[in-house]
Amino acid sequence: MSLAVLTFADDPIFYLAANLAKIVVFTHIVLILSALSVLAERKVSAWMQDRLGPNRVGPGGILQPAADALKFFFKEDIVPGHVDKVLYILAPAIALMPALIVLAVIPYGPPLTVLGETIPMVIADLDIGILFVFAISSLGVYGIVLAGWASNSKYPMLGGVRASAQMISYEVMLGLSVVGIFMSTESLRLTDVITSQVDGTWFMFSQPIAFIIFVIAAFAETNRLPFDLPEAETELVAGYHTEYSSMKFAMFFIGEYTAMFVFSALVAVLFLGGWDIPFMSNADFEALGNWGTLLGFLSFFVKCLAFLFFYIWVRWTIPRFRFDQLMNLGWKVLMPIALVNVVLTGVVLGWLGS
Amino acid sequence: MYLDYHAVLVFLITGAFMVCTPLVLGMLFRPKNPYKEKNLPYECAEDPIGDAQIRFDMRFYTTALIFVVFDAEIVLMFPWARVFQSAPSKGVALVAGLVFTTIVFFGLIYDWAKGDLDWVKSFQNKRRVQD
Repeated sequence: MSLAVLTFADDPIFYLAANLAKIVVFTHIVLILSALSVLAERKVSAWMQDRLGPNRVGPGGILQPAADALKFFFKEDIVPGHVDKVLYILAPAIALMPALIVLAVIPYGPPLTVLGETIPMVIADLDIGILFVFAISSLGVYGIVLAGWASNSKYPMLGGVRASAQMISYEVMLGLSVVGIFMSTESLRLTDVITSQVDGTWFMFSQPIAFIIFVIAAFAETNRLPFDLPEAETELVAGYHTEYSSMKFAMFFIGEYTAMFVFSALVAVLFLGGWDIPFMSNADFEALGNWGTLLGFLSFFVKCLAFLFFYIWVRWTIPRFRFDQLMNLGWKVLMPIALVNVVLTGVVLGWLGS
Repeated sequence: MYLDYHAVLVFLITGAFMVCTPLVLGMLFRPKNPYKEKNLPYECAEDPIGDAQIRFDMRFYTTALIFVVFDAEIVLMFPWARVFQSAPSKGVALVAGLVFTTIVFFGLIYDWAKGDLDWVKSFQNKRRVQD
């Protein structure tokens, strides 16, 4: 970006105010979106199964998430006598926090100009963006494992242990699949990844193998069908959150949907060009000024929502994997392919460069 | 540069606030009516036998060990990927990367051949262990 970006040294108060505003606005947008995606999940499921879905609260059932939230507030919070109390209360918080914190490094749109200052539309534009994402999002597994262990009940225990094995296995594939991208962008900063895609091709087309591996790993990391073994209803009742009720259960629920949004955003940023619109260059976005920001912002959220829809679509299309199939797919199929992809990218880039 | 992280800190506090508020606020409204049956572990109306915090399968431990090794290897790959194109000689960078990837690959094949990646161990392997 050629524009001078607002820093702390320029105008400390304005800088802090802008950051605080960004934090408040983006957290709310994402939390409202994840609440609405719960409704969308039920509506789309109903549509795919030829039913009506929730349609009683508000026009077309649009207020259903609000009604659910109220219900979560007023329901009894059962803390069974046999649990490990401290960990039992801590676990839902740990499950939700990492998904929220990852939102800090996701670029939502091109820089905005306010009062002559350029503000990047990302809360913390870290130069190790993707490492931060992996470091924090892998903490999410603690919430699930602690919930399973602290519940001191058989079904949550099985769910928690399964979740730990599944999530750490697919963490490896997730990290390995994106190595190719950073070989071509030469930066781990997420905004650089997007700007290189805006002027070039989307990595979905130049890194198709990485794209497929990343999407599969994203499904496994968020515990969604076909990889929802930690909470497989038919086998484990509700998996790791069997013993949870009221607001603590809601934490797991919101955490899961926020994590889904985070991974949709990551797919959009890494593979679908982030805020890019086909046939537009970085110069076009800069020329359009704040309208460019708005366009980019909309484009980014359209991509996220499309991927969220894909999550739900897959849920009603593919049956659940067996646990040994899941581990085999991860370690014996995706891992070698991801390694070969890294070498292939290296050879192609070396070839083109020399 | 480190100033970028202040936003992360503020975000952390916001996140903690958002998690704690509904939990604490709800305590004012919620009914509280625990009794003996409600406090039992959920086991589809069976009386639970024994503790649930049991020793679990060894295979989970092996998976965790393999994960630690491979994750460390992937973290080592990131800096290489970052400087790959700006390296003075791409050929050398490529060979270096190739050697590293090959070592990782042999590690994978070793685990594979040893049977640590098989979730369901074959009957033959099982007998070998018993002998």
